[in-house]
This record gives sequence, structure tokens and C-alpha cells, in this order.
Amino acid sequence: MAGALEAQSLAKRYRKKWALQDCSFVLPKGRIAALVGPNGAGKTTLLHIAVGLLEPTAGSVHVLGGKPAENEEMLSRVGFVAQDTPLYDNFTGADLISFGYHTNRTWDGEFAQERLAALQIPLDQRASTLSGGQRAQLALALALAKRPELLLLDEPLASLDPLARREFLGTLMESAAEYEITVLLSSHLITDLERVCDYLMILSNGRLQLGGSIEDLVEQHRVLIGPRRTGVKHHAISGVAQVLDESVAGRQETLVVRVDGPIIDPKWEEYEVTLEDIVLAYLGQKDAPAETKKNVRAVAARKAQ
Amino acid sequence: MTWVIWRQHRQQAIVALAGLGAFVAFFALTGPAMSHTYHASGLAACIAARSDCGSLLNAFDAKYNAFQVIVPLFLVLPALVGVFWGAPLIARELERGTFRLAWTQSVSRRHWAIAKLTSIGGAVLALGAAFAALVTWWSLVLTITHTDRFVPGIFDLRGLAPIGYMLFAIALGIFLGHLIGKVLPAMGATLAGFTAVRFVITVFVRKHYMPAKTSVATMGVPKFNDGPRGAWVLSRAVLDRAGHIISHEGGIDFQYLSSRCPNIPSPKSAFAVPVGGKDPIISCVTRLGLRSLTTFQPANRYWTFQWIEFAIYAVLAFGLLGFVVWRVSRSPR
Amino acid sequence: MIWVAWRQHRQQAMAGAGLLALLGAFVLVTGLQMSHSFHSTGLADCIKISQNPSCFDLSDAFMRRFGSEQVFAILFVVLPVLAGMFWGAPLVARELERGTQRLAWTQSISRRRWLSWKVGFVGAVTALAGAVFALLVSWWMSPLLKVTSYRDNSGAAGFRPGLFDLHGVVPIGYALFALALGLALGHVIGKVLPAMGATLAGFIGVRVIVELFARPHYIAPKIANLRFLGPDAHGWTIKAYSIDASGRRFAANGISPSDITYFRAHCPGFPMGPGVVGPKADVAAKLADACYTRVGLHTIEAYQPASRYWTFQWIEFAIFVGLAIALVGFVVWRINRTAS
Repeated sequence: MAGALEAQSLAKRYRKKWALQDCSFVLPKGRIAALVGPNGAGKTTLLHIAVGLLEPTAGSVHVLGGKPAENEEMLSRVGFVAQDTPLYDNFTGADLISFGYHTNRTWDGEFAQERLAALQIPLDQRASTLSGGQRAQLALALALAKRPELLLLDEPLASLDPLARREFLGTLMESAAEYEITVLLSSHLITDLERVCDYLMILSNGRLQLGGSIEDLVEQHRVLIGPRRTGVKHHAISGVAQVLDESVAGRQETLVVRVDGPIIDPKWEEYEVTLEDIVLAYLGQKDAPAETKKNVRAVAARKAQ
Repeated sequence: MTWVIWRQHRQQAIVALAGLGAFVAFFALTGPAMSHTYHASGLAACIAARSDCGSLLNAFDAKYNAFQVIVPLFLVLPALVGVFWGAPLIARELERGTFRLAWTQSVSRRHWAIAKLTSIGGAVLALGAAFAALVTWWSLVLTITHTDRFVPGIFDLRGLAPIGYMLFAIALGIFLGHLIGKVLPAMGATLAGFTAVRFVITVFVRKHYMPAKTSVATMGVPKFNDGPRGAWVLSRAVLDRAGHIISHEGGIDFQYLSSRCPNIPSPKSAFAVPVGGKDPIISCVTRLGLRSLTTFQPANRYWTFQWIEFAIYAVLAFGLLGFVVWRVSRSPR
Repeated sequence: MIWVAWRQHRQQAMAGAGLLALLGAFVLVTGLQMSHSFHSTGLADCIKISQNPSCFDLSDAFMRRFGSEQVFAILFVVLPVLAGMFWGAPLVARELERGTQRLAWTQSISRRRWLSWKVGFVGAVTALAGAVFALLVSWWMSPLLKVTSYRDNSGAAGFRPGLFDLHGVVPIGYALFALALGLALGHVIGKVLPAMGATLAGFIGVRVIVELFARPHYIAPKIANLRFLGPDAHGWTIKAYSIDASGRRFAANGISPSDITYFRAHCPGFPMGPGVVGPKADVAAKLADACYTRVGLHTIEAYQPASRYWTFQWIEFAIFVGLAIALVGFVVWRINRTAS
């Protein structure tokens, strides 16, 4: 069964810099996926390629079984909300809904109007006079009114306050469930996504570090806290496939590990990982920038107290 | 603050200097060649001797006819300065919101405005002066053959007037940019406003800078009587013996003549009468004692008029800029 | 999609309409004035009887009265490039500068279809406005053209560089070309203000090159053999020189001081210089004429006959429209590969 979004060795280069390298993944249909990574990781580049705004330098990408933006039909099946929610500033909300009507094949304008009325967003004011949260909701309503099968969003929560974020995610979830839309949204705010997403992709320095359903990931990873190990070489801990991150605080050591069997060593206490743990651990890998490593240690140090 | 202004307008400054460089190159290439032709063909000597230089003039004109094409370009240049430099100056900051960055630094808004406007204004003044000087020098030979220097194609391009136009254009652009707050509409408004003001002043106001003089001459055989040499003729009227104005356009009114003299043929066939032999029209005109009244501005008022026009535009410019400084200092925006 | 094109360019269209209405009113009012004056003073009928010297005074009065309107002719030269700067350059550049192409190009409309509608709408409006205005200005200019033709004896004043550009169909071609140039430069540069500046510079460059170098040669000029210092050929003189039987070349319309020495050598008693005034002028002219005939001096002119005026108009129109189509085609072809 074809995934909603598939990439094979996708790569994109701008002049001398590689924005994406060797990205391969399959996003299954029906998922609510989070694309997470620090600024400059290549999230926007990946999304723009998926939506047909950019051409890849190497590799290939398939959207709903076809090439991105290859014809108007493909365009109508994919919805997109770009970073900073670009809208025509001198169009009113009603104008923008009209705009959608005239440029799309299937268009549910009433849905958009009801949605915005319920959120009390005025339709007769120019888009430039609306607040950040209102613009985001407007852009989302326009993308949903298109009745897409796949919806991509580029950092939609970035400029929203916590209440606006909750409203936005609420709207998104409702519609995704009701109309069976596959969603991929990029963000660097992990805690919000935890409640909402069931699939995770981690992008760092243009490379895909991890991709999988969150349930599986939580199953496969643990946080282990135990006494500080002495000596340079550490014995392998039985049950642990890979140590992703370790930090030392005083006489205690905290590890984030991927497991392939039960942990029987009594020295180590096992804890369930949160999404944030996983993300920080994978971002703290060799490839990740130095900043994130510091963050990982700070978090682990706090946990150890 | 100087560094900030330079950094912000660096690109525009470079384009302007490149443009000026292109003009200098063009003038340097064509000016001396024209001057040489002017002297070598004998036209210079002929004009100095005040004789009829018709054929030499024709030859010279024909050779440099192509330069007529450039006149519109020079006339439009001040407008371009206002549109591309003036309008976006403040409008761009307002449209993009960067004024919030500029106006919350520890430089007062008034200081910011004055610094920006004086440096841009100063740059435009220097540019305008350089340009006006270049054009005046280059076009000397082309215009020396026109005795009337008040013609818009000459008056507006040489001397001080172009400097005034540039200052006014940049001031108008800044003013409208500040008022409208959006770059593209401000540019359009600046172009329209500048054109309108230039038109009104050139066509309606300029002739009244100083009270016009009049002179009376007998109307006789049609000849190219342009009034005093080099003057700007504003109007011609025809007077009868008693001094009443019988025609405002300086032409011959057939009804008037035929009602007073015998043998005046109708207009259509009048001109078929061969010249030579007594022309009934001429004898009628002489018998009735008709005279022509010329209203004109004397040629020696040329520089006075240039100064007055420059002053008008400069005062307008300063008024607009002062208004902008005042508003920027006060406005809570 | 036509609604979208209208809604996006509504403001520009209305500003343009307002401007044209204002200019149109001016043209109408002054045109009626000129036309009335032209006919009621008898100038119109006078000129019809060709080359009648006694019309000069009337024509003088006419030119003096409507001299300032002539300055306005210069404004009309500028109008086509305004279409390019204010309508053409922002068409794509504005979307790219503000990032709204990320909204427009992810709706279910292909980029080419989207662009075609936008360009089509703005292009149609430009063509219509251009046509209306060209008609109006041609009517407005007609008395001025006739008077100028009379005064310079060529019968083809309309062919002159300054006047050809304002009359007939070429202004429409210029406007469409300016629009397409603005579109292409806006697409390539991606920023509105630099694109506007580049459009202005490019338009001027192309117009100057076509006008000065291409236009005289659309059709091979005719060569005429004329009397020295006599009337010009009936048309637009492109190049002229004078030559005598021995093959010595002279300027087309006059003689220089060095020429006088030459003539004196061939015709004793040749008058002093060209600037002889007063009653002696007639005698001097007769002597000079006799000498020219003896030396075999005649003028050779390369010219375009006045009858070719409309052919030239249509050729230049076709050139500019062709350029416009090529530029638009280029942008439509490239739009699918524009990265964002």
C-alpha cells in the first residue's frame, strides 16, 4: 500500500550547501505526523519539495502515489500552509474564500465560513489587520476547505500563544479525524505535538535521524538511571541495543537507550521515555549542532535531581 | 546615523552614481563632436554675424535630429528621482514595519527624520546640480540657434530650474510616501502629483512671474516679426486705429476687413491670389491703420525667471520636508 | 480565475483608469480647442492649397498658441513604460517578494494557467487602454501634424522621430512590450523596485535602438536626385548629401566656408557668403544658382516616401508585439521551474 508521502534518497542543494541529504522515509496514510528539528534543519525545504514549490537535486519523492504538483489533480489533493501563513494582505477573509473557490476544483466554502464564524474571526476585514492566531486559523480553514487527502503545514504554531495553539491543534485534529486526512506538520515545539501526533520524523542537518510511529518508538526506548560508571570502556548493558545519550550528574548517570530485550541489570532503574526525551536524544547525536547537546545534558541533569 | 543612512541607501546611491557616470560618458562622447561641427561648418561665425543662416542651420539640425529623442528623457529625470528615491524612503519602512526598529533606538524620531532628509536632500541637490551643469554645457550648441530661451524644451532643461524640480520631486515623494504608507501607490501618486504641479506652473504661472511688457507695431506685409529679439512672446493682438482690440489671436479676421473695404475676397480663394501686384488685403490693412500689439517677456529676464522658478520649487520642497519632520516627530505611529 | 486576476489587480486597474480619464479629459478639451482654432481661422483650408507661403503667419500664431500643449506630447511618450513599470513589474515580482506564491501555487491551478490568466487580464486591459488612448491622441495631434508638415515642407511630419511614436498604432505596441518586459524582469529579479527600474532602463534602451537604427531601414529607402537647396523629397529624409559633376561631396543643405573657396575657383564672381541680406540677396542667389548649375551640383537623398507611413507603423507595431509575445512565452515556459 502506497504511503501518503514517500521519499527515496531525497537530496537538495543550494549553491554549496546541502539542505537535505539522503532522506528516505514512508509516511503511512492516516497518520498525524510531526516533523521535528532545529532551525535550519531542512524542514521547510522538505515540505516545499513535497508540495512542488522546489525541485530536488537528487533522489525522488512521491505524494499519494504520484509526483508532486505534476498536474492540477495532484495539486487539488494536497493542502499546504506555508511558514508565516502568507495571505494576500489586502484581501478580506471573504475574498480569500472566493479566491479558493476560483482556484480549486473541489471547494467547500461553507465549511470555511462556518469554521471561521465559530472562531469569531471576521470575514470582512483585511487579512493584514488580523492577529497572528487569526491568520493561522484562516490559512488552516482555507487549506481544509480544499478537502485534501494530505495536509502539510510548515511551523504553523510558531507565532501563536498557548491558547491559540491549543485552538489550532483542536481544529486540525477534528478535521483530520472527520475527513480522514493524513497530516504532516513541522515544528520545534515538542510538548504540544505530543498530545496530537502519532508519528514522528526527526530531521537534523539535512538528514533524517529517525522516523516511526510514536507508540513503537516509546516501546523501543527507555530512560535508564543508575550509578555513574567508572572506567573508560563501558560494558554493554544487556537488553540495550544502543545508547543514544548519556549524561552524568554527581554520582548518577542518566542514559537514553534503544532496547531490544528486557533490562535485567538491577543497577539500572527504567523509566518510560517522553517524546521530548527521544527528540533531544536523537538531536544530540554527533550530527546535531552543539547547542542541542547542551540542552540534552541540562534536561538530564534536572531529571536526575 | 550617517553610516546607517549610507548602508540603507547604498544600492540606490550606486545606481544613481552609475547613471550619472553614463550621462557623463554620453556627454563627453557627443558634446565635443557637436561643438566641433558647430564651429567647423561655419555656423558659429554665421550666427555671430547675425545673418540668415538658414541652410547651415538646416544641415546642423538634420545631423543632430536624433538628439531630439533625448529631450523627453531629461525632462522625466527629476520625476524618476522622486518616484524611486523619495516615495520608498519612509513608505518602505512603514509598509514592512521596520520603522518599529528604527524608531525605538536611542535616536529620537526627530533626529532620525532630520538626518535622513538632509542627507538625502543634500545628495539630490548635488546630483541635480551636477546634472544641470552637464546638460547646460552639452546643449549649449543645440539651443544657441533658438532665440527664444523660454520655450519649455529649453527653459526646463538648463540653468537652475532642473535642480529645483529634483528637490521638489524628492520632497513630494517623501511626503506622499509618509502620507500613504505603501510604496507602489506612493510612487504612482508622486508621478501624478509632480506632473500636475509642473504642468500648472509651466503653463499658467510662469508667464506671470513678472508683469509682461507690450509693444505696438504696424501690421503690414506678413513677415516673421517676433517682436524684440529673443523675447518670449505671450500673445499677439490686433488693434485698430483707435486702439481697440479687434482680435486676440493676431490673425486677420475676414469679416472685419470685408465689412470695411471693397474687394476683399472670401477666405478660401484669398490665398490663391498670386503675391506680386497690390494685395487688396494689405492695402485694406494699411488704410485702416491696423497695428499688432505684442505682449512679451524680454530676453534679459531669462535668469531672473530661472531664479524665481527655482525658488518656487525649492520653497515647496522645504515646506513638504518640514511638514514630514514635524509629523514624524509627533505621530504615535 | 478571472475574478482572482481582477481582485488582485483591481487597484492598479482603477488607478490606471483614473489617470487615463484625467488625461483623456485634458486631451479632449485641448483637442477640441485646437481643432476649432485650426478650422475657424482658415488655417485648415489655407494649408490644403499646398506650400502657400502666406499661411505662415497663421501657422505661426497657431503654433504659438498651442505651444505648451506640444510639451504634453512628451508625456504621452512616457505612458507606455508606465504600464510596464506599474502593471508589469509587480505582476510576478510582488508575489515572489512577499512569498504569496506559496499560497497561489499550492491551490489546484497549474502555474501556467494561473500566470496566463493574470497576464491575459492585464494585457487585455493594457491593449484596450492603449487603443483608446492611441485613437484619442492621434485625433488630438492631427492639426499639429498638418501644420508641422506644412512648415517643414516634407509632407511627412508624422514620420519624424518625436511624432511617429505618438501616433497611429505603435503606442499600443510599446505598451504591450513594456508590460511584457516588466513581467519578465520581475520574474527574473524577484523584487518589485529593482524590476521597475530595470524595466524603465530596458524599455528606453530598446526604443532608442529601434528608433535610431532599425526604423530607417524597414524598407529599403528610395534614392532621389534633387535640385541643390531645392525642396526636399516628399517623405522622411534619412540621409542626404550633395555632389557635383566632379564627384566632390558637399553637405546636403548648405555650404561651408571651405566650399565658397571652391566655388569661387570655378565661378568667378561667386557671392561672398551665405549670409547676404537685403536687396542684394536676390542677385546673389541668382549668381549662386548659376554656379551650382555650371558645376553640376545636385542633392542625393535617401528617403522614405510619405506613402509608406502606415506600412512603417504596422511593421514597428509588429516588432514590439512580437517582442512582447516572446517575453511572455519565456516567462510562461520558465514559471514551472521557478524555485521558491
